[in-house]
Amino acid sequence: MTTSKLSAIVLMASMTLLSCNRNDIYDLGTIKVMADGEKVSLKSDLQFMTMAYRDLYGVDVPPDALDLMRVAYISFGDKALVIDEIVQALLLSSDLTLISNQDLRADIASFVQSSYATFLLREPSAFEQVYWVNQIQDKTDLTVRDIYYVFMTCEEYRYY
Amino acid sequence: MDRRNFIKRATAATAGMVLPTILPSGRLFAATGSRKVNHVVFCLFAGGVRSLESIWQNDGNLMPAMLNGNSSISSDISGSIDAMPSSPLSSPLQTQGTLFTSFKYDQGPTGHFNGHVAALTGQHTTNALSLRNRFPLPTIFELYRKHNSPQMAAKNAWWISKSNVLYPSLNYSAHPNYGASFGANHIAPNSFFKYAISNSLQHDIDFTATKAEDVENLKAYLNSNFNSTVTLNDGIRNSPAHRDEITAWMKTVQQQVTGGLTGNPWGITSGMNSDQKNLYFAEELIKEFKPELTVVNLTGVDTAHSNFSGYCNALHRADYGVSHLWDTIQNTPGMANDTVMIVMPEIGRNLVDNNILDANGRPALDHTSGDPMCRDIFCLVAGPSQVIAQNKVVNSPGGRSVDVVPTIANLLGFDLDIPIALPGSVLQEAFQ
Repeated sequence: MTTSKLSAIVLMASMTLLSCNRNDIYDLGTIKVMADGEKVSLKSDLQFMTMAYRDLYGVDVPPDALDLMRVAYISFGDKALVIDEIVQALLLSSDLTLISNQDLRADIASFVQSSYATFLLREPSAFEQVYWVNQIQDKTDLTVRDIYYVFMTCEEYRYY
Repeated sequence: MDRRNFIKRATAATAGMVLPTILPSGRLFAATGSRKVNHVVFCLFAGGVRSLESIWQNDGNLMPAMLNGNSSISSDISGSIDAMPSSPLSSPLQTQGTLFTSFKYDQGPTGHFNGHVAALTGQHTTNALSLRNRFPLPTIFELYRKHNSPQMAAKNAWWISKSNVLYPSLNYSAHPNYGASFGANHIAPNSFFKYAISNSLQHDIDFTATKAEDVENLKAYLNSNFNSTVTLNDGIRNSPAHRDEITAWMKTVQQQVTGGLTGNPWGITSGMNSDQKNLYFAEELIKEFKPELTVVNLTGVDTAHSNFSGYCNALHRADYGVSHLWDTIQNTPGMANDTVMIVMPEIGRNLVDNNILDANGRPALDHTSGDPMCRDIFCLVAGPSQVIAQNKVVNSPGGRSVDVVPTIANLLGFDLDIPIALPGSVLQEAFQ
Protein backbone atom coordinates (compact mmCIF):
# COMPACT_ATOMS: atom_id res chain seq x y z
CA MET A 1 0.00 0.00 0.00
CA THR A 2 1.35 3.41 -0.85
CA THR A 3 1.69 6.11 1.73
CA SER A 4 -0.63 8.37 -0.19
CA LYS A 5 -3.31 5.68 -0.30
CA LEU A 6 -3.05 5.09 3.42
CA SER A 7 -3.19 8.82 4.03
CA ALA A 8 -6.32 9.02 1.93
CA ILE A 9 -8.00 6.30 3.97
CA VAL A 10 -7.06 7.91 7.23
CA LEU A 11 -8.23 11.29 5.91
CA MET A 12 -11.51 9.75 4.79
CA ALA A 13 -12.05 8.17 8.17
CA SER A 14 -11.15 11.41 9.87
CA MET A 15 -13.61 13.34 7.75
CA THR A 16 -16.35 10.90 8.62
CA LEU A 17 -15.34 11.13 12.21
CA LEU A 18 -15.56 14.91 12.13
CA SER A 19 -18.78 15.03 10.16
CA CYS A 20 -20.48 12.71 12.60
CA ASN A 21 -18.87 14.30 15.63
CA ARG A 22 -18.45 10.90 17.29
CA ASN A 23 -14.77 10.37 17.87
CA ASP A 24 -15.38 7.27 19.95
CA ILE A 25 -17.22 5.49 17.15
CA TYR A 26 -14.72 5.99 14.36
CA ASP A 27 -11.50 5.63 16.27
CA LEU A 28 -9.41 3.20 14.28
CA GLY A 29 -7.49 1.92 17.21
CA THR A 30 -3.85 1.01 16.99
CA ILE A 31 -3.97 -1.40 14.06
CA LYS A 32 -3.45 0.24 10.71
CA VAL A 33 -5.99 0.03 7.93
CA MET A 34 -4.86 -2.18 5.06
CA ALA A 35 -6.17 -1.66 1.58
CA ASP A 36 -5.97 -5.32 0.67
CA GLY A 37 -7.64 -6.37 3.90
CA GLU A 38 -5.30 -9.30 4.30
CA LYS A 39 -5.91 -11.02 7.60
CA VAL A 40 -3.93 -14.06 8.53
CA SER A 41 -4.40 -14.43 12.28
CA LEU A 42 -7.38 -15.41 14.33
CA LYS A 43 -8.02 -13.03 17.20
CA SER A 44 -7.67 -14.74 20.53
CA ASP A 45 -10.81 -14.65 22.61
CA LEU A 46 -9.39 -11.94 24.82
CA GLN A 47 -8.23 -9.96 21.79
CA PHE A 48 -11.66 -10.22 20.25
CA MET A 49 -13.40 -8.82 23.30
CA THR A 50 -10.80 -6.10 23.81
CA MET A 51 -10.94 -5.02 20.18
CA ALA A 52 -14.72 -5.15 20.03
CA TYR A 53 -14.96 -2.82 22.97
CA ARG A 54 -12.40 -0.44 21.54
CA ASP A 55 -13.99 -0.45 18.10
CA LEU A 56 -17.31 0.59 19.56
CA TYR A 57 -16.34 2.83 22.45
CA GLY A 58 -13.09 4.21 21.17
CA VAL A 59 -11.27 3.60 24.44
CA ASP A 60 -9.54 0.65 26.02
CA VAL A 61 -11.88 -1.70 27.78
CA PRO A 62 -12.03 -1.05 31.54
CA PRO A 63 -10.84 -4.02 33.62
CA ASP A 64 -14.23 -4.64 35.20
CA ALA A 65 -15.97 -4.73 31.83
CA LEU A 66 -13.32 -7.03 30.41
CA ASP A 67 -13.66 -9.30 33.41
CA LEU A 68 -17.42 -9.53 32.94
CA MET A 69 -16.97 -10.46 29.29
CA ARG A 70 -14.22 -12.93 30.15
CA VAL A 71 -16.28 -14.69 32.81
CA ALA A 72 -19.30 -14.89 30.51
CA TYR A 73 -17.07 -16.24 27.78
CA ILE A 74 -15.42 -19.00 29.77
CA SER A 75 -18.69 -19.99 31.46
CA PHE A 76 -20.34 -21.20 28.30
CA GLY A 77 -19.15 -23.85 25.87
CA ASP A 78 -20.66 -22.63 22.60
CA LYS A 79 -18.24 -19.78 21.97
CA ALA A 80 -19.99 -18.46 18.87
CA LEU A 81 -23.19 -18.17 20.85
CA VAL A 82 -21.64 -16.35 23.74
CA ILE A 83 -19.68 -14.01 21.48
CA ASP A 84 -22.91 -13.11 19.71
CA GLU A 85 -24.42 -12.36 23.09
CA ILE A 86 -21.47 -10.21 24.13
CA VAL A 87 -21.56 -8.24 20.89
CA GLN A 88 -25.26 -7.58 21.32
CA ALA A 89 -24.70 -6.50 24.91
CA LEU A 90 -21.97 -4.08 23.82
CA LEU A 91 -24.23 -2.65 21.15
CA LEU A 92 -27.19 -2.30 23.48
CA SER A 93 -25.34 -0.72 26.36
CA SER A 94 -26.72 2.62 27.46
CA ASP A 95 -23.11 3.77 27.70
CA LEU A 96 -22.68 3.51 23.94
CA THR A 97 -23.41 6.52 21.80
CA LEU A 98 -24.01 5.63 18.18
CA ILE A 99 -24.34 8.09 15.36
CA SER A 100 -27.95 8.79 14.55
CA ASN A 101 -29.77 6.95 11.83
CA GLN A 102 -30.43 10.33 10.23
CA ASP A 103 -26.69 10.89 9.96
CA LEU A 104 -26.34 7.43 8.47
CA ARG A 105 -28.99 8.15 5.86
CA ALA A 106 -27.53 11.56 5.13
CA ASP A 107 -24.22 10.11 3.93
CA ILE A 108 -24.46 6.39 3.38
CA ALA A 109 -21.29 6.16 1.32
CA SER A 110 -19.16 7.62 4.10
CA PHE A 111 -20.84 5.40 6.65
CA VAL A 112 -20.01 2.29 4.65
CA GLN A 113 -16.39 3.34 4.24
CA SER A 114 -15.96 4.14 7.90
CA SER A 115 -17.63 0.90 8.95
CA TYR A 116 -15.20 -1.10 6.84
CA ALA A 117 -12.30 0.90 8.23
CA THR A 118 -13.41 0.56 11.83
CA PHE A 119 -14.37 -3.09 11.90
CA LEU A 120 -12.56 -4.75 9.02
CA LEU A 121 -9.56 -2.44 8.89
CA ARG A 122 -9.74 -2.05 5.15
CA GLU A 123 -11.46 -0.18 2.41
CA PRO A 124 -14.50 -1.72 0.81
CA SER A 125 -13.96 -2.80 -2.76
CA ALA A 126 -15.82 -0.79 -5.33
CA PHE A 127 -18.35 -3.59 -5.62
CA GLU A 128 -18.76 -3.85 -1.85
CA GLN A 129 -19.23 -0.11 -1.61
CA VAL A 130 -22.00 -0.12 -4.19
CA TYR A 131 -23.62 -3.23 -2.71
CA TRP A 132 -23.79 -1.79 0.78
CA VAL A 133 -24.98 1.62 -0.30
CA ASN A 134 -27.77 0.00 -2.29
CA GLN A 135 -28.70 -2.33 0.55
CA ILE A 136 -28.91 0.49 3.08
CA GLN A 137 -30.86 2.66 0.68
CA ASP A 138 -33.32 -0.14 -0.08
CA LYS A 139 -33.76 -1.44 3.46
CA THR A 140 -34.93 1.66 5.15
CA ASP A 141 -35.48 0.06 8.55
CA LEU A 142 -31.83 -0.97 8.96
CA THR A 143 -30.23 0.99 11.77
CA VAL A 144 -26.66 1.81 12.65
CA ARG A 145 -26.85 -0.79 15.42
CA ASP A 146 -28.06 -3.47 13.02
CA ILE A 147 -25.25 -2.81 10.59
CA TYR A 148 -22.60 -2.76 13.28
CA TYR A 149 -23.96 -6.06 14.52
CA VAL A 150 -23.52 -7.52 11.04
CA PHE A 151 -19.93 -6.33 10.83
CA MET A 152 -19.04 -7.50 14.33
CA THR A 153 -20.46 -10.98 13.87
CA CYS A 154 -19.07 -11.68 10.43
CA GLU A 155 -16.17 -14.08 10.04
CA GLU A 156 -13.71 -11.45 8.85
CA TYR A 157 -14.08 -9.60 12.14
CA ARG A 158 -12.69 -12.63 13.96
CA TYR A 159 -9.33 -12.16 12.21
CA TYR A 160 -6.68 -9.51 12.06
CA MET B 1 -40.75 -12.42 12.78
CA ASP B 2 -37.65 -12.07 14.87
CA ARG B 3 -34.21 -13.43 14.11
CA ARG B 4 -34.80 -16.63 16.04
CA ASN B 5 -37.99 -17.43 14.20
CA PHE B 6 -36.34 -16.65 10.92
CA ILE B 7 -33.54 -19.11 11.63
CA LYS B 8 -35.99 -21.66 12.95
CA ARG B 9 -38.16 -21.37 9.87
CA ALA B 10 -35.18 -21.62 7.55
CA THR B 11 -33.84 -24.65 9.41
CA ALA B 12 -37.21 -26.35 9.46
CA ALA B 13 -37.61 -25.82 5.76
CA THR B 14 -34.27 -27.52 5.15
CA ALA B 15 -34.85 -30.29 7.66
CA GLY B 16 -38.25 -31.06 6.22
CA MET B 17 -36.66 -32.21 3.04
CA VAL B 18 -34.29 -34.73 4.55
CA LEU B 19 -35.50 -35.95 7.91
CA PRO B 20 -37.63 -39.05 8.28
CA THR B 21 -40.41 -39.18 10.81
CA ILE B 22 -39.20 -38.91 14.36
CA LEU B 23 -40.33 -41.69 16.64
CA PRO B 24 -42.54 -40.87 19.63
CA SER B 25 -39.52 -41.31 21.87
CA GLY B 26 -37.89 -38.43 20.03
CA ARG B 27 -35.21 -40.73 18.64
CA LEU B 28 -34.74 -41.80 15.06
CA PHE B 29 -32.73 -44.97 15.36
CA ALA B 30 -31.14 -46.91 18.14
CA ALA B 31 -27.43 -47.55 18.53
CA THR B 32 -26.30 -51.16 18.34
CA GLY B 33 -27.39 -52.01 21.87
CA SER B 34 -30.83 -51.46 23.33
CA ARG B 35 -31.39 -48.64 25.72
CA LYS B 36 -32.44 -49.23 29.26
CA VAL B 37 -33.51 -45.61 29.70
CA ASN B 38 -33.43 -42.50 27.54
CA HIS B 39 -31.84 -40.15 30.08
CA VAL B 40 -28.87 -40.34 32.42
CA VAL B 41 -27.91 -37.73 35.00
CA PHE B 42 -24.50 -38.14 36.57
CA CYS B 43 -23.76 -36.14 39.70
CA LEU B 44 -20.12 -35.85 40.71
CA PHE B 45 -20.88 -35.49 44.34
CA ALA B 46 -19.44 -32.72 46.30
CA GLY B 47 -15.66 -32.45 46.02
CA GLY B 48 -13.93 -35.20 47.97
CA VAL B 49 -16.16 -37.17 50.32
CA ARG B 50 -14.98 -39.69 52.88
CA SER B 51 -17.04 -42.82 53.20
CA LEU B 52 -16.69 -42.42 56.97
CA GLU B 53 -18.90 -39.32 57.03
CA SER B 54 -21.20 -40.37 54.17
CA ILE B 55 -22.23 -44.00 53.95
CA TRP B 56 -20.70 -45.17 57.24
CA GLN B 57 -22.32 -42.30 59.12
CA ASN B 58 -19.57 -41.93 61.73
CA ASP B 59 -21.01 -38.57 62.80
CA GLY B 60 -24.62 -39.59 62.30
CA ASN B 61 -26.62 -39.58 59.11
CA LEU B 62 -25.56 -36.35 57.48
CA MET B 63 -27.30 -37.43 54.27
CA PRO B 64 -30.84 -38.35 55.33
CA ALA B 65 -32.41 -37.50 51.96
CA MET B 66 -30.19 -39.96 50.16
CA LEU B 67 -29.25 -42.63 52.69
CA ASN B 68 -31.20 -44.91 54.98
CA GLY B 69 -30.57 -44.44 58.68
CA ASN B 70 -31.76 -42.34 61.59
CA SER B 71 -28.61 -41.92 63.63
CA SER B 72 -28.29 -38.50 65.21
CA ILE B 73 -25.64 -36.06 64.14
CA SER B 74 -22.76 -35.85 66.62
CA SER B 75 -23.59 -33.31 69.28
CA ASP B 76 -20.33 -31.37 68.98
CA ILE B 77 -20.96 -30.51 65.31
CA SER B 78 -24.75 -30.52 65.19
CA GLY B 79 -24.88 -26.78 65.80
CA SER B 80 -22.89 -26.26 62.62
CA ILE B 81 -25.31 -28.20 60.45
CA ASP B 82 -27.91 -26.00 58.76
CA ALA B 83 -31.49 -27.18 58.84
CA MET B 84 -32.79 -28.18 55.44
CA PRO B 85 -36.45 -28.37 54.44
CA SER B 86 -38.05 -31.79 54.58
CA SER B 87 -36.81 -34.05 51.82
CA PRO B 88 -39.03 -33.86 48.77
CA LEU B 89 -38.68 -37.64 48.47
CA SER B 90 -41.03 -39.94 50.33
CA SER B 91 -38.13 -42.22 51.23
CA PRO B 92 -34.34 -41.87 50.95
CA LEU B 93 -33.01 -41.95 47.43
CA GLN B 94 -31.14 -45.13 48.28
CA THR B 95 -34.44 -47.00 48.33
CA GLN B 96 -34.91 -46.18 44.66
CA GLY B 97 -31.65 -47.71 43.58
CA THR B 98 -28.48 -49.61 44.32
CA LEU B 99 -25.78 -48.36 46.67
CA PHE B 100 -22.22 -49.55 46.12
CA THR B 101 -20.43 -49.10 49.42
CA SER B 102 -16.98 -50.40 48.50
CA PHE B 103 -16.43 -48.34 45.39
CA LYS B 104 -12.89 -47.23 44.58
CA TYR B 105 -11.12 -44.45 42.84
CA ASP B 106 -8.46 -47.04 42.36
CA GLN B 107 -5.69 -45.45 40.32
CA GLY B 108 -4.15 -42.06 39.80
CA PRO B 109 -3.42 -39.05 42.00
CA THR B 110 -6.22 -38.25 44.43
CA GLY B 111 -6.85 -34.74 43.15
CA HIS B 112 -10.18 -33.29 42.10
CA PHE B 113 -9.25 -32.88 38.46
CA ASN B 114 -7.83 -36.39 38.21
CA GLY B 115 -10.99 -37.72 39.81
CA HIS B 116 -13.17 -35.79 37.40
CA VAL B 117 -11.20 -36.92 34.36
CA ALA B 118 -11.38 -40.55 35.43
CA ALA B 119 -15.12 -40.29 36.03
CA LEU B 120 -15.87 -38.49 32.76
CA THR B 121 -13.59 -40.46 30.46
CA GLY B 122 -13.54 -43.86 32.12
CA GLN B 123 -9.75 -43.74 31.90
CA HIS B 124 -7.11 -43.72 34.61
CA THR B 125 -4.88 -40.68 34.98
CA THR B 126 -1.36 -40.14 36.25
CA ASN B 127 0.77 -37.33 37.60
CA ALA B 128 1.35 -36.36 33.98
CA LEU B 129 -2.24 -35.20 33.58
CA SER B 130 -2.11 -31.77 31.98
CA LEU B 131 -4.06 -28.93 33.48
CA ARG B 132 -3.51 -26.82 30.37
CA ASN B 133 -4.43 -29.21 27.59
CA ARG B 134 -7.52 -31.25 27.05
CA PHE B 135 -7.35 -34.94 27.92
CA PRO B 136 -6.21 -37.07 24.98
CA LEU B 137 -8.98 -39.66 25.24
CA PRO B 138 -12.68 -39.00 24.65
CA THR B 139 -15.16 -38.03 27.32
CA ILE B 140 -18.48 -39.73 27.87
CA PHE B 141 -20.08 -36.79 26.05
CA GLU B 142 -18.13 -37.46 22.88
CA LEU B 143 -18.72 -41.20 23.06
CA TYR B 144 -22.43 -40.58 23.51
CA ARG B 145 -22.76 -38.07 20.70
CA LYS B 146 -20.65 -39.95 18.20
CA HIS B 147 -21.76 -43.52 18.76
CA ASN B 148 -25.44 -43.08 18.24
CA SER B 149 -27.21 -43.29 14.93
CA PRO B 150 -27.85 -40.62 13.96
CA GLN B 151 -25.22 -38.79 15.93
CA MET B 152 -26.61 -36.76 18.78
CA ALA B 153 -26.93 -33.01 18.89
CA ALA B 154 -24.98 -31.04 21.48
CA LYS B 155 -28.27 -29.90 22.99
CA ASN B 156 -28.70 -33.46 24.26
CA ALA B 157 -25.48 -33.44 26.28
CA TRP B 158 -24.70 -30.94 29.04
CA TRP B 159 -21.78 -30.50 31.39
CA ILE B 160 -22.86 -28.24 34.24
CA SER B 161 -19.80 -27.31 36.25
CA LYS B 162 -19.82 -25.69 39.63
CA SER B 163 -16.91 -23.43 38.76
CA ASN B 164 -14.71 -22.25 35.94
CA VAL B 165 -11.51 -23.54 37.45
CA LEU B 166 -10.21 -26.26 35.12
CA TYR B 167 -13.59 -27.95 34.76
CA PRO B 168 -14.83 -26.23 31.57
CA SER B 169 -12.27 -28.17 29.54
CA LEU B 170 -13.95 -31.44 30.39
CA ASN B 171 -16.73 -31.08 27.81
CA TYR B 172 -14.55 -32.59 25.10
CA SER B 173 -11.13 -34.10 24.58
CA ALA B 174 -8.18 -33.56 22.28
CA HIS B 175 -8.71 -36.93 20.60
CA PRO B 176 -8.46 -36.44 16.82
CA ASN B 177 -11.50 -38.63 16.13
CA TYR B 178 -13.70 -36.87 18.67
CA GLY B 179 -13.14 -33.36 20.04
CA ALA B 180 -15.34 -30.29 19.86
CA SER B 181 -17.56 -31.70 17.13
CA PHE B 182 -18.85 -34.25 19.64
CA GLY B 183 -18.50 -32.26 22.85
CA ALA B 184 -21.15 -31.35 25.36
CA ASN B 185 -22.62 -27.96 25.92
CA HIS B 186 -20.86 -26.58 28.94
CA ILE B 187 -22.20 -24.05 31.37
CA ALA B 188 -20.94 -22.82 34.73
CA PRO B 189 -24.24 -21.29 35.81
CA ASN B 190 -23.05 -19.79 39.09
CA SER B 191 -20.73 -17.61 37.04
CA PHE B 192 -22.75 -17.22 33.87
CA PHE B 193 -25.90 -16.20 35.73
CA LYS B 194 -24.23 -13.71 38.03
CA TYR B 195 -26.35 -10.59 38.34
CA ALA B 196 -23.95 -8.31 36.48
CA ILE B 197 -23.59 -10.70 33.55
CA SER B 198 -27.30 -11.48 33.42
CA ASN B 199 -28.07 -7.78 33.50
CA SER B 200 -25.71 -7.16 30.60
CA LEU B 201 -26.70 -10.08 28.41
CA GLN B 202 -30.40 -10.42 29.03
CA HIS B 203 -31.56 -8.27 26.11
CA ASP B 204 -31.26 -9.02 22.42
CA ILE B 205 -31.25 -6.57 19.58
CA ASP B 206 -34.80 -6.53 18.32
CA PHE B 207 -34.61 -7.74 14.75
CA THR B 208 -38.22 -7.38 13.79
CA ALA B 209 -40.11 -8.21 10.62
CA THR B 210 -37.95 -8.79 7.58
CA LYS B 211 -34.94 -7.24 9.25
CA ALA B 212 -33.88 -10.62 10.63
CA GLU B 213 -33.62 -11.98 7.15
CA ASP B 214 -31.81 -8.85 5.95
CA VAL B 215 -29.27 -9.10 8.75
CA GLU B 216 -28.53 -12.75 8.00
CA ASN B 217 -28.21 -12.01 4.29
CA LEU B 218 -25.85 -9.11 4.89
CA LYS B 219 -23.72 -11.25 7.15
CA ALA B 220 -23.69 -14.01 4.55
CA TYR B 221 -22.56 -11.45 2.00
CA LEU B 222 -19.64 -10.36 4.15
CA ASN B 223 -18.72 -13.96 4.86
CA SER B 224 -18.80 -14.81 1.17
CA ASN B 225 -16.18 -12.15 0.52
CA PHE B 226 -13.78 -13.52 3.11
CA ASN B 227 -11.67 -16.64 3.03
CA SER B 228 -9.26 -17.74 5.69
CA THR B 229 -7.29 -20.89 6.17
CA VAL B 230 -7.33 -20.44 9.95
CA THR B 231 -9.96 -22.42 11.80
CA LEU B 232 -12.32 -20.57 14.08
CA ASN B 233 -11.92 -21.48 17.71
CA ASP B 234 -15.58 -21.76 18.53
CA GLY B 235 -15.56 -24.72 20.89
CA ILE B 236 -18.61 -26.85 20.49
CA ARG B 237 -21.26 -25.74 18.05
CA ASN B 238 -25.00 -26.01 18.29
CA SER B 239 -27.13 -25.89 15.19
CA PRO B 240 -28.61 -22.43 14.50
CA ALA B 241 -32.04 -23.59 15.63
CA HIS B 242 -30.71 -25.16 18.82
CA ARG B 243 -28.55 -22.11 19.45
CA ASP B 244 -31.67 -20.00 19.39
CA GLU B 245 -33.49 -22.35 21.76
CA ILE B 246 -30.57 -22.17 24.15
CA THR B 247 -30.38 -18.39 23.87
CA ALA B 248 -34.09 -18.08 24.60
CA TRP B 249 -33.67 -20.22 27.71
CA MET B 250 -30.68 -18.16 28.80
CA LYS B 251 -32.74 -14.98 28.49
CA THR B 252 -35.48 -16.48 30.62
CA VAL B 253 -33.06 -17.41 33.39
CA GLN B 254 -31.23 -14.08 33.14
CA GLN B 255 -34.52 -12.28 33.60
CA GLN B 256 -35.24 -14.46 36.63
CA VAL B 257 -31.85 -13.49 38.02
CA THR B 258 -32.31 -9.76 37.47
CA GLY B 259 -35.87 -10.06 38.76
CA GLY B 260 -34.57 -11.43 42.05
CA LEU B 261 -36.19 -14.83 41.59
CA THR B 262 -33.07 -16.98 41.92
CA GLY B 263 -31.74 -15.87 45.29
CA ASN B 264 -33.34 -18.65 47.28
CA PRO B 265 -35.90 -20.46 45.14
CA TRP B 266 -35.85 -23.51 47.40
CA GLY B 267 -36.80 -21.46 50.43
CA ILE B 268 -33.99 -22.67 52.66
CA THR B 269 -34.03 -20.65 55.87
CA SER B 270 -30.28 -20.15 55.94
CA GLY B 271 -30.13 -19.57 52.19
CA MET B 272 -28.78 -21.73 49.39
CA ASN B 273 -25.09 -22.43 49.03
CA SER B 274 -23.34 -22.48 45.67
CA ASP B 275 -23.69 -26.25 45.25
CA GLN B 276 -27.43 -25.96 45.70
CA LYS B 277 -27.55 -23.02 43.28
CA ASN B 278 -25.67 -25.11 40.73
CA LEU B 279 -28.25 -27.86 41.14
CA TYR B 280 -31.08 -25.35 40.87
CA PHE B 281 -29.78 -24.13 37.53
CA ALA B 282 -29.24 -27.74 36.46
CA GLU B 283 -32.90 -28.37 37.21
CA GLU B 284 -33.96 -25.38 35.14
CA LEU B 285 -31.87 -26.67 32.27
CA ILE B 286 -33.19 -30.21 32.59
CA LYS B 287 -36.78 -28.99 32.63
CA GLU B 288 -36.20 -27.01 29.46
CA PHE B 289 -34.09 -29.34 27.34
CA LYS B 290 -34.60 -32.80 28.86
CA PRO B 291 -31.06 -33.78 27.87
CA GLU B 292 -30.26 -37.42 27.36
CA LEU B 293 -26.94 -37.01 29.13
CA THR B 294 -26.36 -34.49 31.91
CA VAL B 295 -23.35 -34.31 34.19
CA VAL B 296 -23.32 -31.89 37.10
CA ASN B 297 -20.66 -31.49 39.76
CA LEU B 298 -20.61 -30.13 43.28
CA THR B 299 -17.54 -28.99 45.15
CA GLY B 300 -18.73 -27.54 48.46
CA VAL B 301 -17.36 -30.21 50.75
CA ASP B 302 -13.82 -29.31 49.82
CA THR B 303 -13.96 -26.84 52.67
CA ALA B 304 -12.84 -29.89 54.62
CA HIS B 305 -9.26 -28.77 54.00
CA SER B 306 -9.73 -26.25 56.81
CA ASN B 307 -13.14 -26.81 58.35
CA PHE B 308 -14.40 -30.28 59.21
CA SER B 309 -17.77 -29.10 60.51
CA GLY B 310 -18.24 -26.99 57.37
CA TYR B 311 -17.49 -30.12 55.35
CA CYS B 312 -20.23 -32.00 57.16
CA ASN B 313 -22.60 -29.11 56.61
CA ALA B 314 -21.79 -28.99 52.90
CA LEU B 315 -22.38 -32.73 52.71
CA HIS B 316 -25.76 -32.23 54.36
CA ARG B 317 -26.64 -29.48 51.89
CA ALA B 318 -25.48 -31.49 48.89
CA ASP B 319 -27.63 -34.39 50.12
CA TYR B 320 -30.71 -32.17 50.12
CA GLY B 321 -29.77 -30.72 46.75
CA VAL B 322 -29.44 -34.11 45.08
CA SER B 323 -32.80 -35.21 46.46
CA HIS B 324 -34.30 -31.99 45.09
CA LEU B 325 -32.76 -32.71 41.71
CA TRP B 326 -34.19 -36.21 41.67
CA ASP B 327 -37.60 -34.89 42.64
CA THR B 328 -37.45 -32.39 39.78
CA ILE B 329 -36.51 -35.14 37.36
CA GLN B 330 -39.45 -37.22 38.51
CA ASN B 331 -41.75 -34.25 37.99
CA THR B 332 -40.48 -33.43 34.52
CA PRO B 333 -42.52 -35.05 31.76
CA GLY B 334 -40.21 -36.91 29.43
CA MET B 335 -37.66 -37.49 32.17
CA ALA B 336 -39.82 -39.08 34.87
CA ASN B 337 -39.47 -42.86 35.06
CA ASP B 338 -37.09 -42.77 32.14
CA THR B 339 -33.96 -41.48 33.89
CA VAL B 340 -31.13 -43.12 35.78
CA MET B 341 -29.16 -40.91 38.13
CA ILE B 342 -25.68 -41.89 39.25
CA VAL B 343 -24.22 -40.14 42.29
CA MET B 344 -20.54 -40.60 43.07
CA PRO B 345 -17.79 -38.57 44.74
CA GLU B 346 -14.82 -38.22 42.41
CA ILE B 347 -12.38 -38.98 45.27
CA GLY B 348 -12.38 -39.59 49.00
CA ARG B 349 -10.36 -37.87 51.71
CA ASN B 350 -7.49 -38.80 53.99
CA LEU B 351 -7.96 -40.95 57.04
CA VAL B 352 -5.35 -38.89 58.88
CA ASP B 353 -6.25 -35.27 59.58
CA ASN B 354 -4.08 -32.23 58.95
CA ASN B 355 -4.20 -30.74 62.48
CA ILE B 356 -6.20 -27.66 61.47
CA LEU B 357 -8.99 -27.38 64.03
CA ASP B 358 -12.37 -25.83 63.33
CA ALA B 359 -14.58 -23.92 65.78
CA ASN B 360 -15.79 -27.22 67.21
CA GLY B 361 -12.27 -28.51 67.72
CA ARG B 362 -12.54 -31.00 64.88
CA PRO B 363 -9.44 -31.52 62.71
CA ALA B 364 -9.58 -30.85 58.98
CA LEU B 365 -9.02 -33.32 56.15
CA ASP B 366 -6.97 -33.16 52.96
CA HIS B 367 -7.09 -35.69 50.17
CA THR B 368 -3.67 -35.84 48.67
CA SER B 369 -1.52 -37.98 50.93
CA GLY B 370 -1.96 -41.23 49.07
CA ASP B 371 -3.85 -42.41 52.14
CA PRO B 372 -6.03 -45.41 51.11
CA MET B 373 -9.12 -43.65 52.50
CA CYS B 374 -8.75 -41.16 49.63
CA ARG B 375 -9.69 -43.96 47.27
CA ASP B 376 -12.77 -45.19 49.12
CA ILE B 377 -15.91 -43.72 47.64
CA PHE B 378 -19.53 -44.78 47.16
CA CYS B 379 -21.74 -44.94 44.11
CA LEU B 380 -25.51 -44.71 44.15
CA VAL B 381 -27.40 -45.70 41.01
CA ALA B 382 -31.07 -44.72 41.18
CA GLY B 383 -33.70 -45.26 38.55
CA PRO B 384 -36.96 -46.86 37.50
CA SER B 385 -37.76 -50.13 39.26
CA GLN B 386 -37.99 -52.03 36.00
CA VAL B 387 -34.39 -51.06 35.21
CA ILE B 388 -32.51 -50.53 38.48
CA ALA B 389 -32.48 -52.87 41.48
CA GLN B 390 -34.29 -51.08 44.29
CA ASN B 391 -33.08 -50.60 47.83
CA LYS B 392 -30.11 -52.82 47.16
CA VAL B 393 -26.72 -52.52 48.84
CA VAL B 394 -23.61 -53.97 47.24
CA ASN B 395 -20.90 -54.28 49.87
CA SER B 396 -18.55 -56.50 47.93
CA PRO B 397 -15.51 -54.74 46.48
CA GLY B 398 -14.97 -54.42 42.77
CA GLY B 399 -16.76 -51.30 41.60
CA ARG B 400 -14.52 -48.45 40.42
CA SER B 401 -15.07 -44.90 39.32
CA VAL B 402 -13.97 -45.80 35.80
CA ASP B 403 -17.00 -48.11 35.63
CA VAL B 404 -19.39 -45.19 35.36
CA VAL B 405 -18.62 -44.40 31.72
CA PRO B 406 -19.29 -47.93 30.44
CA THR B 407 -22.38 -48.07 32.64
CA ILE B 408 -23.78 -44.87 31.15
CA ALA B 409 -22.98 -46.17 27.69
CA ASN B 410 -24.81 -49.39 28.47
CA LEU B 411 -27.83 -47.55 29.86
CA LEU B 412 -28.04 -45.46 26.70
CA GLY B 413 -27.40 -48.42 24.43
CA PHE B 414 -24.10 -47.57 22.78
CA ASP B 415 -21.51 -49.43 24.86
CA LEU B 416 -20.96 -51.99 22.11
CA ASP B 417 -20.19 -49.25 19.60
CA ILE B 418 -17.26 -47.70 21.45
CA PRO B 419 -13.98 -48.43 19.66
CA ILE B 420 -11.81 -47.00 22.45
CA ALA B 421 -10.54 -49.41 25.11
CA LEU B 422 -12.12 -48.67 28.47
CA PRO B 423 -10.62 -50.18 31.64
CA GLY B 424 -13.95 -50.22 33.46
CA SER B 425 -16.94 -52.54 33.37
CA VAL B 426 -20.69 -52.09 33.31
CA LEU B 427 -22.15 -52.08 36.82
CA GLN B 428 -24.42 -55.01 36.12
CA GLU B 429 -25.25 -55.49 39.80
CA ALA B 430 -27.26 -52.29 39.70
CA PHE B 431 -29.59 -53.62 37.05
CA GLN B 432 -32.72 -55.67 37.48
